[in-house]
Amino acid sequence: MSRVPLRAVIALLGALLFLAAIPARAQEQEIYLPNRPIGPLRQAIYAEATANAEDVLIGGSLAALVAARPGLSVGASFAMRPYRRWVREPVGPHLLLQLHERRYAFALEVSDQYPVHPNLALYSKIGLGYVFADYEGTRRDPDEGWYVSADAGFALTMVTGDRHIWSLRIAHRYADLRSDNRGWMHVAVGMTF
Amino acid sequence: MQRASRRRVMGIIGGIVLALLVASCDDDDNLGYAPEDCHRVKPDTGYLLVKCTISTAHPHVPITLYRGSMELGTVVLRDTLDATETDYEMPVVGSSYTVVARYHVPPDTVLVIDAARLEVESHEYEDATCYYVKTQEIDVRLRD
Repeated sequence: MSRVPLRAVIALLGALLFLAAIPARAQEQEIYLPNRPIGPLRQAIYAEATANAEDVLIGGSLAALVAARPGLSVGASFAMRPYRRWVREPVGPHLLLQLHERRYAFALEVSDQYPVHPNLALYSKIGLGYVFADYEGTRRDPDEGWYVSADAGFALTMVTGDRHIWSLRIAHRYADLRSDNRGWMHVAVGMTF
Repeated sequence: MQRASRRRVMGIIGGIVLALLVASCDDDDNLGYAPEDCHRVKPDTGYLLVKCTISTAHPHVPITLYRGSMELGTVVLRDTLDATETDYEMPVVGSSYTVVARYHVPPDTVLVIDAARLEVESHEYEDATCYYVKTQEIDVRLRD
């Protein structure tokens, strides 16, 4: 990535992080489930798991709702592989290293929900992040770098009290987290309040 | 999804749920009196448990143990293992220990690398502080 786009990306990440880290600055957003206004909401918190047949990352996210559009939010997420994974790396003719790898991902994200039923919404999210990794016992550098993610799925919602919405989000995610596969199943449980 | 991967995913999900349940319990800060086997002096050494693959194809596995990383560390010992688990008593130092095991898998040579750090931990009791060094596992088993 050349210098100018990298600076632009960092500026965009900084702006999004500012919005996500200070949710109180965002104006309150009126959330309407079909035929049922449930009051002003400002932020959401989620516990998340991203998995495919070869790999798993778990983590969480914080988001601030954007007043301009119901369902729209910006936020930040962090995920890590909760175990060490074996990887093999060729280092020469007929010479391989088998290494224990740890992996972490940080992303800034924009998501949107479209209610289709009192307890069901279509859900999409795009994100821009950076994936980090390290190996045990060696100073070799694992594959790290920027990535773009895109989610599409649905959210089951349940209103409790006047100002809480519990959500279960299930989505297919595309993200190049420098793992074996770029397709992931993404599950998130959280609350908007 | 392969069965082993599915088991791993389910194990991880179960572990998360269990961790959340345990974390939600109140901690009991009162540990009572120190047990009879309490070590009241900080230990200088601990044990590294090195796990390797021993099979008909690999009856003997040469290893090198480094203090620090493989590239910058100093060689502490070289050995040839013929058991799947071997422990070494090592000084507790401020850096990790790295083990490199060499397997010949025709036509390739595979170097399996893992590391661990020995650290002194302690428990406060009403009448004493007990110190211990948890045995650290270094897994240099060959994966398919």
